[in-house]
Amino acid sequence: MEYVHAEFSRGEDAAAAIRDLAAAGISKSAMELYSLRPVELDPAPLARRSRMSLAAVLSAITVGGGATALVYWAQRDYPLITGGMPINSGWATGVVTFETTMAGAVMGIFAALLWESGLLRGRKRVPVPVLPDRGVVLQVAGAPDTAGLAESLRAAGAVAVEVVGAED
Amino acid sequence: MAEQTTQQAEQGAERTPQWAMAIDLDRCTGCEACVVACASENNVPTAGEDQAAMGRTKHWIRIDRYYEGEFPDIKVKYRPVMCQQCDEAPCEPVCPVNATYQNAEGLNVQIYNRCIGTRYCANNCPYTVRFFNWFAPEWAAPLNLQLNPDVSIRPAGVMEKCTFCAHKIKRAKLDADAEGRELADGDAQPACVQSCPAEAMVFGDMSDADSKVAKQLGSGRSGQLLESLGTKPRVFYLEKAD
Amino acid sequence: MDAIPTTALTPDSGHASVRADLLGRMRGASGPYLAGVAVCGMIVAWALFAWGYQIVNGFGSTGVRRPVYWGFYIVNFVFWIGISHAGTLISAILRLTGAEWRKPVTRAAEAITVFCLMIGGLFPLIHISRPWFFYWMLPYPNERLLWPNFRSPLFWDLTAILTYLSGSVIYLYLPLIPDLAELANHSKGAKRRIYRALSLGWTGSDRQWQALERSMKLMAVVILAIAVSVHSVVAYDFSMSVMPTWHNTIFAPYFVVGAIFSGIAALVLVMAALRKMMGLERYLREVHFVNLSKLLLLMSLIWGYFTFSEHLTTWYGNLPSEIRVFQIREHGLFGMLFWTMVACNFVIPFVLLGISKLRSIPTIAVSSAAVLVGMWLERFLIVVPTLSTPPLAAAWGSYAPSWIELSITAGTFAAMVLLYLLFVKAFPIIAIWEYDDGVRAR
Repeated sequence: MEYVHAEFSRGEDAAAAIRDLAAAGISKSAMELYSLRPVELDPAPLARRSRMSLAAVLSAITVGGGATALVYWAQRDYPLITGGMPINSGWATGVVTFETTMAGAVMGIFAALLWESGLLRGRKRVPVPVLPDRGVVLQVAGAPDTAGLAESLRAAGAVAVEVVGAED
Repeated sequence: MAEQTTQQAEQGAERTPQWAMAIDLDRCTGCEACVVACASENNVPTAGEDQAAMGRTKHWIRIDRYYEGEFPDIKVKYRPVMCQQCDEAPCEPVCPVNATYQNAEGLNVQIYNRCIGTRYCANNCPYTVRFFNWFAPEWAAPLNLQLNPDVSIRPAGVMEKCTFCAHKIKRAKLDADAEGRELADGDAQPACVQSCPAEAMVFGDMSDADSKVAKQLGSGRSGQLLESLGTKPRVFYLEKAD
Repeated sequence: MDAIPTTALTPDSGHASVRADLLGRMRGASGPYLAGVAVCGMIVAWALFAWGYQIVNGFGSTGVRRPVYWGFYIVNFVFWIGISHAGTLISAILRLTGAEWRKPVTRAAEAITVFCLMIGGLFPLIHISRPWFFYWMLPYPNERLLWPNFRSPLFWDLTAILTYLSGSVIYLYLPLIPDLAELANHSKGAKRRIYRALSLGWTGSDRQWQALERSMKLMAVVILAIAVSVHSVVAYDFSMSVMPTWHNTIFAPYFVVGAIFSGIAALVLVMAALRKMMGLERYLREVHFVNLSKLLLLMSLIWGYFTFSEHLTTWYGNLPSEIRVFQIREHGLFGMLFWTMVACNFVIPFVLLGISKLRSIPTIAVSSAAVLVGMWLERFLIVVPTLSTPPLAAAWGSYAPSWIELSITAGTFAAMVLLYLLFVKAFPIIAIWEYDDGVRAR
């Protein structure tokens, strides 16, 4: 597969190019931006749906609920009376429930980060462009007409355009 | 677990004694015979001069002195204080490893092996009757020759305290079993109670209305130490109301 | 909040120059640096020897005695866990409120959090007399069905600190990932491979940036909740007890305020040291110190308010067991420490930071140092006077630390400096990618 790398000095130009390419029928999933600093544009040109909050909440409920259940069953099956307290009570378990819920949220966020950023998943052998100190690089994968695409990107304001083949 | 619960249920059919102690302060002469008896019964180690000066002596039972009036017209009152075996003991819930808990007979038990030495229980005891093994136990000669084989030696780094002579309670139960009879009032006697020349201390099952201790508790003179904290001690102090 | 004046770093001094500058500072080691590492290393080694001595010879080699069963170790524990709130406050609150001036400050703060938690989390281990059985506090399955006591505040501590430590390590690590990738690109050999592995194969794609920024926002929310809960739980160690003046509803918020207070002070001191020793004047500017000093002043006022409320309530209530603690805390040796604490935590910051003419980097650093001293004394005055006057007068006692506690206390301060010295050579102390949004791709 061939990749076109187009360097833009401004994120806005890259965003405009992405809009044009998308209008011309190139899927957004074939495009990717690379930069040394985050491209913070509103709306994000390549906005992706994120389930990170959901992952955090679900993980929090699972871990917190699991830990609370462990405490409940452990105390029920090994009933030691201390200080005249009831064997199980919400007050005495509250702190443990809270802390483990939060620990679950942390785990969920970190796992979701690794998954959504693609750091953990089996990486496709995608060539990584050399990143300029300023500006961004737009990568378009597997375009049918690379020469024409390069030309149109140059017209859209790209500073430099190159076509690279995948390593395999 | 299931096994233990059924065991408890079987015992429940027999009736679980509820141990308690009554100490008559009007009889106590402050002679400290109980202190000596306790130390030798329970293998309580001696601390040595330097450590004692630091405040590291161990006395499972101690005699607190309260002075009334001004010299020379002075009155002293003695109060033997040991672990109060609280029903709602503040020392128990704070232990992170469950090394101390309430058993079915109302004893506040300490599991030496389980203790990791956070010393939280000792901090949270309003009576300050828990003692820590700062070093491996030692006895000045010839005390090392009179150790009691019925009581375990506590290693360095664990907490210990009055057990109401749990080993003597156990022995009394075994003896009663061997003789095929019920445990009678007065069979189980802690060392301090046995040794009190003034007979100021009475120990027994307070759930048995006929026991000596239950009668003492009903005498109208009984109260508890730091009662307002709500720890519900099993040690009751009898005192004439002034 | 004030905007950062961009005089020192022009828009043209782009990413490359910031990176070159910050990476350059990581290279090499000056004579004083090596001397610092050696001295701190020796103090830490001595502290480890003292700990070993304590384990081998018995806990009695410390100065702890009946009835003061808790001493310096618990004071230090509360102190270090308190300072660890620096990272959370500066980083999470400022990140969530969008305070742009935080950017050069966050990593220094987050590193404090991680190191202080590592040190503070060690104290329960040092504090218990049979540390080799520490794992009995963990709920692990075993043949005897023995579980820890889930009702114990110490077990709560364990869950809270483990959660906080793992959370803050991740919170420090997340914004470090892009910098690690850059470090890998600009180093060679084994270093390159290590940094590359640590960066998890970061390429700087938009997908990664989006996920990273989202995760950092979420983490800021979560870590804030954890931080507040952690110091509340530390306070619960005391307030769950029945001891006079410990059993107190004010303790949880009082401890949280004190923790943030000492955390800011520690951060200011660390920043002043970094600025001086690494020559970071162009990054850590006066405006950062001034902004932090305003927060410090605010926390000082809140601390004063809490302290006043606590003591007034005790004095007015006049309960026999509580008033005794109150009196020994206000008179004699404890009294001297008490009024030193008030001076350090309230008077000095109030004068030096409250009068704007006096407010400068040196005075801000001086008041921060005073606050650290004062907050250590505060914890000492919470732990020791109460324990030395239990409800029954026959059991009253005193406490003085032995050389073991003093060595270990000194060792933890040296350990903090040592960890920081090593950190600034291994990782950029200012986030390169985050440093100035003014020069990023637009």
